[in-house]
Amino acid sequence: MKPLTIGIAGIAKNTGKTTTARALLEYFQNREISLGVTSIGYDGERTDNITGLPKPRVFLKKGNLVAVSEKCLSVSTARVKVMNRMDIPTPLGSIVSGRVVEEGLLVLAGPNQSRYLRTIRDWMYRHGAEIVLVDGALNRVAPMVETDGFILCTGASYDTDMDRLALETRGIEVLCNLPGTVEIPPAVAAGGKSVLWDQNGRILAELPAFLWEPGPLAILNGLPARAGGFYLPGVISSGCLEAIRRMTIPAGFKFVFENPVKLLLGGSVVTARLFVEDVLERGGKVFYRRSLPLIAVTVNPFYPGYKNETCRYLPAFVDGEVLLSKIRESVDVPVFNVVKQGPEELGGLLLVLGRQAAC
Amino acid sequence: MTPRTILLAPIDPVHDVGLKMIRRGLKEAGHNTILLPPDLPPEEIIQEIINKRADTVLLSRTLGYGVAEILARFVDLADALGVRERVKLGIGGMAIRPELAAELGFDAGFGPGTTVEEALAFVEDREYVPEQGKRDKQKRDLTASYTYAYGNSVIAELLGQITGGILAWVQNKTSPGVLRARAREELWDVRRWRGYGKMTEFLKEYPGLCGEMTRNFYLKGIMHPKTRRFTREEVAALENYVSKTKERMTVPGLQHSLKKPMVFNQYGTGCPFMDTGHIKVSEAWGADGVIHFDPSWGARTEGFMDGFLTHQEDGTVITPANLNRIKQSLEPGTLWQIRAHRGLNTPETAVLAGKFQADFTKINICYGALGAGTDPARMTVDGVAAIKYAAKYGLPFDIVTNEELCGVPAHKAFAGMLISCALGLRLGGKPVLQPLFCYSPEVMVEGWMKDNYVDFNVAKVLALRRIIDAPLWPGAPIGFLTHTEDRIQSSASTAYHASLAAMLGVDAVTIASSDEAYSGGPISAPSKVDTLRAVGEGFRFFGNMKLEPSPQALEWSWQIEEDIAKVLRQVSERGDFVGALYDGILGSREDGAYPGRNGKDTVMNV
Repeated sequence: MKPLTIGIAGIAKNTGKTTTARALLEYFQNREISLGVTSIGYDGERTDNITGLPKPRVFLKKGNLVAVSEKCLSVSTARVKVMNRMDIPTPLGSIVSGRVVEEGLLVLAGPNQSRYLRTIRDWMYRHGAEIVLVDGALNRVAPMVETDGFILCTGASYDTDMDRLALETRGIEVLCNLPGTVEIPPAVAAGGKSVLWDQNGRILAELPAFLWEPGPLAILNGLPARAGGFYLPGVISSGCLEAIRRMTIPAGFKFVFENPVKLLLGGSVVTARLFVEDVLERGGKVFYRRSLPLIAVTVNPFYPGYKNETCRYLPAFVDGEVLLSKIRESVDVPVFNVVKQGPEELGGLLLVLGRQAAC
Repeated sequence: MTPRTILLAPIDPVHDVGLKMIRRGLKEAGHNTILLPPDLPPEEIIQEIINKRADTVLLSRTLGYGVAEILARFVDLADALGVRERVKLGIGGMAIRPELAAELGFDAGFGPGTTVEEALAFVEDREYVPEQGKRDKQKRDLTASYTYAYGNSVIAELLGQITGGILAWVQNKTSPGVLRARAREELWDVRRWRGYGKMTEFLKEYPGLCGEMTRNFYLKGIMHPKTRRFTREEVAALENYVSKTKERMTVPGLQHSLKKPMVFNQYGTGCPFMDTGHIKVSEAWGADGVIHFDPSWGARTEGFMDGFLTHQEDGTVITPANLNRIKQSLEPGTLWQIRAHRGLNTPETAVLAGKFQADFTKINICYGALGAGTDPARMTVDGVAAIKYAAKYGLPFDIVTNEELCGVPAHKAFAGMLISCALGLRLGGKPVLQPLFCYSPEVMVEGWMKDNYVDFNVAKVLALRRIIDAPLWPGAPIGFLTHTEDRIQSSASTAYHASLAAMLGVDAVTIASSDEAYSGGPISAPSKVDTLRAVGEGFRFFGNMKLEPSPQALEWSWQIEEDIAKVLRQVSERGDFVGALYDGILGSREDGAYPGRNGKDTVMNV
């Protein structure tokens, strides 16, 4: 099996990232698969940092690799032999990596930047990890670009309107899984700017690396037939994508983005999805230089209900069955409720993925 | 230090005062600061980071549900645009803690109470060392600046006559308590004891000087029925607790801009392990000193047991091992008082306080004899011996006047206090006057506090200040009998009394815990936090303001001074201090004072 790095990202806080991570840990640990575990946030505490409601905690068996902030070790019951002190700062001390020598609960707080995640992933591979699990934080997705794919945790905590939730989830799936990847001419990628190029790879115009306002996009209006494509290394706002949708695009014209995160962070997932589908329908193409596949979705009917009378959060739930079926209807990737179904199917799916990657 | 460029962005329409204060500190340190208007969207803040080439970004936001996602998106955007690698991100606001900052993807989190220095250290890549760390708390001798000169010559002369008589009377007298103190002083070596050395000579003599219970402990191994030894596991757990707590301990001060008063509170749960927890809580919430509170039966018992013992009721048993463990748990700057004031072990307690390097003890012959149940003759002989030991060890001792709580009028209690004070001065000691700041039976009956609790307490301080230039330590605790079972009320009352004491410029105060009067058992650690926090707020609120005494306070102060002189004249005329105690001159049965019977007929002529 080729080593795989799997991210667990949330559409919002309290959508079940830790529950999904726990399910997968249980599945892989029972099969004695060598794991590496880290987090881009802070997880494993008894109660939620904001709502004060109880949280699931992370249990790790002996032999697994971890990379966490130094202060996590003293509040964890799992004992970790530190093998490497990394020069990666966090609010809870530098990151240390090591191996669990005594099983127990672990508080996870890892690196807060994508580049550090890369360093940690490579260290874990070098020390034999077959699967590296990256626990997400809140609605953060940027560091997921360092993974081979991610599981999206969606749930009522983001929106108790299940139709809107299904629409948002489908939008993320379209953005991650519909466009393919492509190479672009080296000169186009070299400058770190947004570039309009012709079919021979010659640069026709340069724009800022990220676009908030549609003004600079005027050059895309009335593009000549020889225009080959437009590459944007940074984030593009929903307003800019709307503006492009109103323009005439030559057949076969390519929009190339660095990775799906650049579209996901533009403001509105629904707008970005409409952009992708619209361009494809009109004969254009949308590509990424690097993919970030959405592998599966997990659903969580829980949400923290706020009681005005007591000024406290209390656990609340939407109908779990309805939620599961609505999300399943809206997306093509497998959807699970790991609390109800257990970790078998989701874990099995990832193992198959690892074997396929090896082939 | 190369000046840094710091972008300050309030993501909250109104709560940006913290950022503005930090900005001022950063500017004063020579850094370039840019304060953005409130409530900008993440995209615009990131654009500003790029435009202004900021090195550090400090955001502030009050946290609520859904806000975390906005902040996380900000971090994500910075990451996705490659900005995150070049700038440090800090987040501040209510409810922000390092754990939450980690969850949000920031480099640092600043919650309530963050200092400008803390933010500056983050900007300058320095480790933050809290200003009020343990290094800053130094022990101070609160008696140092006093001359002990009398301002009232009549009272001075009377005290001279009375103390001369007391010293002449005790000269050829002794008691089991004095003999035990001498054995402890001469035959018991604390260093040898700590090294598990044998105390053969001491153990040969000491049990014979003890009462039945203590003798049975030494000769037959029988424990006091409400005590037991700690197990090995418990000792190991305590040692672990102390070392772990000390590692992360900081000791803030409560005084804000004030130099005094120092704030003391007492421990005495019965269990030295729990006491240690209470002490650490007191230290962590700003107490300057802690007071050892022993069981009431300890005052009636001749002699001390030994061993690391816990007691199932309130009051922590005095044994060398208990004192030793408690001493080891104290932070270096914490003042420690071991009370010796009231019972049959008074002189030996002073010896142990000296040998274990306590900072204060507590002795008052009159209170011990009239309010605490010890025979006046015995208390006088033992009290003088205790004062001598306190002087030998350089231990200042406060002179408590809690007989007021029995109903003794303040002027009588003060006359007794001044006698102990004068004895202390004659014997080379460093006495500290402890007037009660309380709602005593006397003022209740007379209606002197119908309008306010201020005037009569002020009068007490003014009177004492005119009589002698000596340190003042109102207690014990301040606000006694104003407290109710309502913890907020109790904390507020304590804070007002402490603030009054501060405005009068006294040297120290002893405060209660908010459930102390009504706990029905051992006090709880959170109730200590209540009053320490309340007192800190009181000091912060009034700062260095002084109090102008009202005409009523002045009038009462003259009255108290005059009445003290009258009482001392009566004692002097009686020509026999012990007789004066029996006769009720310093507090009568009608007042509510009863000469004690513990240790009656145990005074021996040498």
